[in-house]
Amino acid sequence: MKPPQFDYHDPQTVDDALGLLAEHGEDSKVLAGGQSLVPLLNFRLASPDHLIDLSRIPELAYVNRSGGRLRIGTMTRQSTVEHSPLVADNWPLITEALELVAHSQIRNRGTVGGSVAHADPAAELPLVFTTLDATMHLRSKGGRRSVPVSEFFLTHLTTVIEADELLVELEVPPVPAGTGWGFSEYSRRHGDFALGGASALVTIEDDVCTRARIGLLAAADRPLRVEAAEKVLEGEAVTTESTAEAARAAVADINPTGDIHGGSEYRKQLIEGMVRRAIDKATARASR
Amino acid sequence: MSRAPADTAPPPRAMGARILRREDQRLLRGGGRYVSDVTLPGLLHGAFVRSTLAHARIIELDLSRARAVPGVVAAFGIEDLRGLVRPMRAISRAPGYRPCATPVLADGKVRMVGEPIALIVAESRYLAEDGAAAVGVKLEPLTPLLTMDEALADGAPVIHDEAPQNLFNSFEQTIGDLEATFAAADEVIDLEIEQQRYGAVAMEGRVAVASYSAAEDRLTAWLSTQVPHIARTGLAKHLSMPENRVRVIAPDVGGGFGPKCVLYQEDLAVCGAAKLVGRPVKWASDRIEDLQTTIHGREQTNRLRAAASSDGRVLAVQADLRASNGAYAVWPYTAGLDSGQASENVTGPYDIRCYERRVRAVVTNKAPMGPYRGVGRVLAAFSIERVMDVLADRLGIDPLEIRRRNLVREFPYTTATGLRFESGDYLRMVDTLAEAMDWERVREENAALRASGVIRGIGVAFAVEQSAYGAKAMGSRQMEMTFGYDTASVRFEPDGRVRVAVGLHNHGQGHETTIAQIASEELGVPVGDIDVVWGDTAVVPYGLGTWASRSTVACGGATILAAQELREKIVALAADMLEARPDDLELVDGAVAMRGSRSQRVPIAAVARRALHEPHLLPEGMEPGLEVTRRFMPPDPGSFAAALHGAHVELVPDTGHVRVLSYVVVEDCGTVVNPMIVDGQVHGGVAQGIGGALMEHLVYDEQGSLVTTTLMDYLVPTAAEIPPIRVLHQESPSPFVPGGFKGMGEGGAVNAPVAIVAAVNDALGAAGNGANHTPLTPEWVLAALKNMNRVEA
Repeated sequence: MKPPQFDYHDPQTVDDALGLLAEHGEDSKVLAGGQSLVPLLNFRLASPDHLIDLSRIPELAYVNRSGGRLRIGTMTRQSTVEHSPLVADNWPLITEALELVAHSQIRNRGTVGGSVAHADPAAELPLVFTTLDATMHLRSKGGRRSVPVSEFFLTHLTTVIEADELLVELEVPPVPAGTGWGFSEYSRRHGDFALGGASALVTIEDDVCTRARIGLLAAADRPLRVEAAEKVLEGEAVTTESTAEAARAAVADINPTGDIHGGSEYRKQLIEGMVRRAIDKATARASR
Repeated sequence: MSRAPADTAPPPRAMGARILRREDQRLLRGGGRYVSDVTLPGLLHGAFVRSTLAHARIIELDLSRARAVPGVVAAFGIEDLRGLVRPMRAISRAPGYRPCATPVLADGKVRMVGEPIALIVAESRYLAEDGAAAVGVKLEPLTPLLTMDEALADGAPVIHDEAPQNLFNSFEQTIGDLEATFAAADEVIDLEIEQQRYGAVAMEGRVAVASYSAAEDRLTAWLSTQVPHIARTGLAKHLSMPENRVRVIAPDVGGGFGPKCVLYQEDLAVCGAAKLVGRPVKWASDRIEDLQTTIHGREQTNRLRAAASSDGRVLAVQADLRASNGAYAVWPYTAGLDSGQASENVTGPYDIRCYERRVRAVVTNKAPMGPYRGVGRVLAAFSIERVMDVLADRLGIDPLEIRRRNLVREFPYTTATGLRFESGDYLRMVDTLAEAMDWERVREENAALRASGVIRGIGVAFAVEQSAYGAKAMGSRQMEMTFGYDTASVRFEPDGRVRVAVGLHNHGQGHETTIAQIASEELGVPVGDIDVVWGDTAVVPYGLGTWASRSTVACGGATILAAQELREKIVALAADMLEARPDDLELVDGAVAMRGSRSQRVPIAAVARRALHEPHLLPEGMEPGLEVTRRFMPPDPGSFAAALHGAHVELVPDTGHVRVLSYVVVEDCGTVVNPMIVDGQVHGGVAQGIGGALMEHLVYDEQGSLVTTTLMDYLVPTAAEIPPIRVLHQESPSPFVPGGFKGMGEGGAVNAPVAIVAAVNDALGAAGNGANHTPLTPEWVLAALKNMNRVEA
């Protein structure tokens, strides 16, 4: 369980990193926190000729708010965001989800951008940013572009990031006033990848749900926002019945991949339950 | 805290004291020294090429490209090692046993995924893996036999020519008049008990370092093993070396649990490579290798019938036990352990005189099974405890009451299979558990909570733990070597400090502390002045290592015998120094003193100095030195601890998760040397048992590849999954063991899966028709909950 040979690069600036990517592109891999890539290297499932380590680029690690929008540099450690009062006060869905990401030791190394770029549909952060309508900012030597999260994830472990591109910033719009949040998942052991889960944002004005965002974890080949479920809630008061109906709607068209930890049908039932839990939490918090 | 004046305070007793484990000083501070820490000048690193198929013929093995990889020093296949390393053949001459060979590297055929085919030796592990990737192996697939039904089917291909029906072992025995008892029974219970394959998964995998000096013809092997001397015997035998030229050092070992008490092909291959290359070689298994090839446990079934009377007495049991022993028998223990030991224990702690067993050890194309904490006995406990719960449910009797009606009451008691329970009070253990769990109230509360959708259950498991097997019990297996004794060498150094060298191995059990406490009790020397050494065949006397919960009984017993003999010499010498009669002297608090006198005393250090540094002053005819080596043979067939476990669980309705709310253990292992250490052994065993009940499963795919090759997929419970465990001690000393000890290292792992299943079945309201298998996955539990709701609706 040792990686095959590779050339190691540790650029100090984003421009240097982009230069290396322009040069090595397809033959390279970007190393962020290493929590997924290093095992892949050790299993010899990935064998890049060049490894470009971003950990010495200070300009990629920040959490701030400008223009009411949250901006997270992609090399920010997950634990930094987890403990950020700015995030907890204004985007508490992120905080709640981060507490479920693996174990604290892993969050100390793992980065926000690394998890998002890795695009595991069972990972919490891609789903959270999907639920929050985030915008992903990419740069390459030749330029920069911004991609809405709804277009960012393509399939398992695959995003729109090109071989010469680097994900540099995540931008999250403000959450409307009166919005409650909920993130629920189930894993067989504390800290494992979830077998299924859901995130919810529920905005309530005068006892009526004016806006809902519902996303599913480990339900498909990418984080899944389910508008059908959102529509069930919107325009009415949230009740036990409407929550159950929304949960049913959320899983109506999914066909999660089964494995030794749970078959597809089990996961579907599980996710339905997680949607109920997430909506319950969000509704209770919105009404507070 | 106030202390009594020094001259009236009784000296603190070492026996029974809650003393912190002394080994933790180094282990918890990162100061332990493991085989991986061994570095030697010129050390090379090995990597194995392993079979990717479960059953195949080897058509071609091409090592030429590997040998050309930069940094690769040598590459070995079976042809390179054939003349140097003999195949292992675990032997039992018992009727029905068929010994099969295990070649050091695959020889013409592979029988399991992960079987070593070639060994690459290079300047680093990285380069060795590069070399391994360059090896060309052509395999012609044969039909893999992955289940016992497949392996036993008529016309199934044969995995070992020596085992024509794919049976390592088979035998039958009937005790009592089974037919008449079943014919007359009020109740007959039929069950098919099934346990999944799971294993030890120690934190440290297997590691070997070998260094050979051609000039001296000496081999030194550092192994992560529980049995340094048995390993030495095995290395000498299979490498055809004189045993006095082989030294095995097993330093700190990061968990054993059984699988590290056998000799593996890799151990022999690494030693062979070191001999051939002329430089030391290290191989450390990675997690994939460990999960694929370190022996597994538990995959067993029992088709079970029991006859009972209408007043709840179990009268007869009929067991048809099968174990999926995998592709190879383990040296030297053979493939007879799982099913054999299960079959000896099926009647459990109960007075059942009529018993029939059919035992089969089946060859399958999976990793070998062998010793794993509580080998075979989990299935035995699962079987008989399910009988008790089903019978209780049928007759409307409380689960604790049904056990009271069947438990052995008088000791010593010899079971139908000849196990002698030497002492105990099993009924009192039931009372203790009932009180500790508040049994009646919790059952009423659980029933009341159902209305509000809270689904809880409570269950128990009672098992007797055979430990420290005696020599006759081991001898009856007719293996290549018979175990059943161990050794302690106790010696005073000139400064009065004591060194105890023991044949056990310490890999987490706290033996350094336990043995020091035992020696302290006998010698009156403070625990802190006693050093305990183990694990190096050049340093300690021949002993049989640590497995089968034998160390406190066998080495503790030997320590007492040696210390008692030493004590006589100390007293005789002190009597001479004090000009007193030996009968008037006692050893207390680091000195030999006249009984009832504080002033007439001589420190033990002075006695030791006299024995070693003032031989000219010794009494006429007394030999210098204070050193005694003794061996103790535990009683046959062993010493029998008992444990009763109770679990209280809640089932989460939308996930199927089993939440363990509380866990109580009532344990009787005779004299408790250190309650904290005994508690720790129970805690660890229960954790492994909860893992086995709910999550641990070595899953193979349809082609025979292990799917669970990482700790992301093989789910070992973490601290977050383990509830607080309350341990209550009851002490019924063994009359047959010096000190009264009974071994107890395995019971936690034996009872826990059974108690958890019982509690889940109770929660499902299905004690009589509940789960007879493990693991109870969330998927299974959720389906069972839906089924229950349908029935209730």
